[in-house]
Amino acid sequence: MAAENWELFRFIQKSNLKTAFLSKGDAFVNILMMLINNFSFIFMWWVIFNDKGTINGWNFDDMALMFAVSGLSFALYAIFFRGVAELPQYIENGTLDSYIVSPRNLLFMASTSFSTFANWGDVITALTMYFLSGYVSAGGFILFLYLSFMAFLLTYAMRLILSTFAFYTSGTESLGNNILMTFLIFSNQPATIFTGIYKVIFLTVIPAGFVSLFPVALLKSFTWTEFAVFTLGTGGIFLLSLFFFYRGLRRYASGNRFGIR
Amino acid sequence: MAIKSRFRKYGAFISLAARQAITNKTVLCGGIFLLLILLLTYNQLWTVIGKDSADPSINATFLWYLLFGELIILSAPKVERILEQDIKSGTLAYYLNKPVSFFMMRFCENLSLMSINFVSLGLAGTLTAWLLTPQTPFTWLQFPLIVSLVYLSSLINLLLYTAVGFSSLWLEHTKTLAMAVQRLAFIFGGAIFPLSIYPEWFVDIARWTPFYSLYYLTIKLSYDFSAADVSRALGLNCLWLAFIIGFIIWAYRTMQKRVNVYGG
Amino acid sequence: MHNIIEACNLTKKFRLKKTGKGLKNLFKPQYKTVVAVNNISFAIKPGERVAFIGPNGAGKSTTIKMLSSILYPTSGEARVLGMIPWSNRRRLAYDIGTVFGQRSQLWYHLPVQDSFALMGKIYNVPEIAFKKRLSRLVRLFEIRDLLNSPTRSLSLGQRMRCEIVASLIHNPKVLFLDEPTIGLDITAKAIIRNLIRQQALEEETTLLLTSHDTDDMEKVCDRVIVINKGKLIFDDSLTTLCDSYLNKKYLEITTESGEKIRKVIDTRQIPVKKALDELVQTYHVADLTVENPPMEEIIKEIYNRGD
Repeated sequence: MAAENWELFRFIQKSNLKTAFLSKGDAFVNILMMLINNFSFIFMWWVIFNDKGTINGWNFDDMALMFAVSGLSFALYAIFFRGVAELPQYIENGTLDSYIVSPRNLLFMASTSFSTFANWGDVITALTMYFLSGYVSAGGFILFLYLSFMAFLLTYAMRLILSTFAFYTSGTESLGNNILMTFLIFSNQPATIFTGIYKVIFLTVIPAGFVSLFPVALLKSFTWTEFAVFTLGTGGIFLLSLFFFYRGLRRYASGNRFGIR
Repeated sequence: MAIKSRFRKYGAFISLAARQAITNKTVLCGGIFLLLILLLTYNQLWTVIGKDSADPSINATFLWYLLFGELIILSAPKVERILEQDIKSGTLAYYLNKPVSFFMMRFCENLSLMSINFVSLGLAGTLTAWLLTPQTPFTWLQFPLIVSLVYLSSLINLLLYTAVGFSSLWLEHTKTLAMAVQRLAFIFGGAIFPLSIYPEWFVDIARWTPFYSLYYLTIKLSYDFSAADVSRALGLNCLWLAFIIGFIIWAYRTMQKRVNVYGG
Repeated sequence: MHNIIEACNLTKKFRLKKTGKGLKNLFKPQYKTVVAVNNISFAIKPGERVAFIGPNGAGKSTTIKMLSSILYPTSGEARVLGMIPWSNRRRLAYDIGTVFGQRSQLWYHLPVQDSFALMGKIYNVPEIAFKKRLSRLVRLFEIRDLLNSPTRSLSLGQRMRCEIVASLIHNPKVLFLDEPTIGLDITAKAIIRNLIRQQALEEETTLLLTSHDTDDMEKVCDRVIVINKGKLIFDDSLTTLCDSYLNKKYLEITTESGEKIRKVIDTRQIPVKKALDELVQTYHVADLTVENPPMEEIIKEIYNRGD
């Protein structure tokens, strides 16, 4: 079963690449723009750290690790599973039908239905930043991949939970987008600036801390406690999002909610 | 008479777009939400930095600076997408036989949207920033002048994105170009962190871009106000304004010619 | 023989939010319940070609969506190939095919061939079987020339042919078609109907087709279920329906002077040919159309006779 799904996944991704390379010039320009985008942002933070030295204990190397993890985790989501962001639309106009009648996992089919090629630029950025940071080692690299993967699960879960609202009420798409945007803004700041009540929000409602705070701490100095908290936190929210989705699915009305066809 | 009727015509576009923007609250609320999140986040950043720094007013300085910068960025409607669609779908051709200028129509609509964004974001942002740091780095006497200059910057920014939209005559996707322009505004304009902390060589490059006066020179007035800087910002901005308008007129003429050739 | 599809007292209710103004509505919205499908029961044998017809909003799509596992019913039971659709969704999926007229399962920018290959992967069709199957369908649906074209470049009629092929790749025992001819022009409609019928006959596929166009059922199906306002009001063979309700033709002619004349003829009394001959002899005919009675007329008739 797993092997079959893996083969299907590879086939879909191949098709995605094919679509992106229909215009080679465009594909190239899109990646280039993404790189300009990322590195101008990183440059901006480099300037700040150059000026201030550290921010509440974080230096630019920590920022580099953060950019690496948040970049790779977002890229995994955007390149392979971005269809999850299209779910509200699928639910409202009934496109979800065609994934329901498929013999494969509904969420897998819907999530892989959309991909943004430009985010390969994020992969390049993430790897560059990891190797530029002062914390490179073989074991560290494997840990980095693991942390990025779990952070990706969290990003995916956040998006899925917000998309699930569409089963209950219409027009929540922009609210969902705004909350995800907040998640992204939070996960691209020095994690140490969130103190007091902000830290509580940062680790619960908008759990961006699992993308920035924990991975950077673990990559700098590994402790099993933090590793366990991180894994349980990200994995837990991911499972919770699946639970919410399948709960909501029972209320799916196949585009019939806004008038009977 | 001709001028009067023209005013009435485009005035109608302005008020129609305004009404639509006010009814469509989700977009407006989304922008305000984003601005508040940014203000709260950067307030945290500067408060934390301020604690370790010798200058305790650093938070107020940079927060208001950020507010004015974001006001310019977030007020701009997605004019480049609308224009790209108009050009690629051939909608443009349908307006050639109507007694309105297509360009003026779209400009009026977007000017109206931008102004509504500007006012609502401005009110929400000012209130939030004031609650976070009541110690403003400017006097309330200077405030109206600063706001007017920021509004002028927003207007030029709108025209800049209009120019990006017209570039879809030659480019496949304007979305990526628009994104790059925004990012360049962040660094060359110092829209988040003032250029004063950037290295010398970088500021020398930035000076040659429109973002320098559009953002940095204008919003710097919020913490470093001087009559000389006001006139410098105003002068440079007007220069860039003329340049951008020149490009738009040229692109618009080219476009009309192309529509004639291909028949839309 | 056993039934391949059974529905027993199938009912589906939707809760619709009433549109209202103000904050009160936001926090305590008012709902009203709409019964889309009301206590419908029927049974279908393997190889039958059944048309679900009825006006827009009659509940035919909702019925087909419950049978194809998309929707949970509010109450009632159903079995498709011996399985309850909504609880055996993924197992059933391998044995049924679905075509939704207004949705596409083809990749927009890629050649249709790639979409077919994807379908083969999704349904675990082995490589060799896939090739054999596809070449058969390609021949049957005459789409050889379309295989390398991206979906976006196809006409609606061509696209629909490819959609149907895509849903037949795994050789389903039951094919659900929801409005397969919607939006097509007359020629394309005729082609699609022909192909659907031919395929079903050759492979003995059980067909369930919804439409609000009576021609679809006449050309494709051998049995008709008429649904109106969620209720089943007629379920019998096509011949019965034609004999008792489809014996009227609506003629409309435009004379050379631009005058329009409408006539309803009863084909049991006057054959269409004779009626036409008469008209042509009486008037200078510039244009002429012959139509079946519209859906609404047939339903009115069924109600009238039921009383």
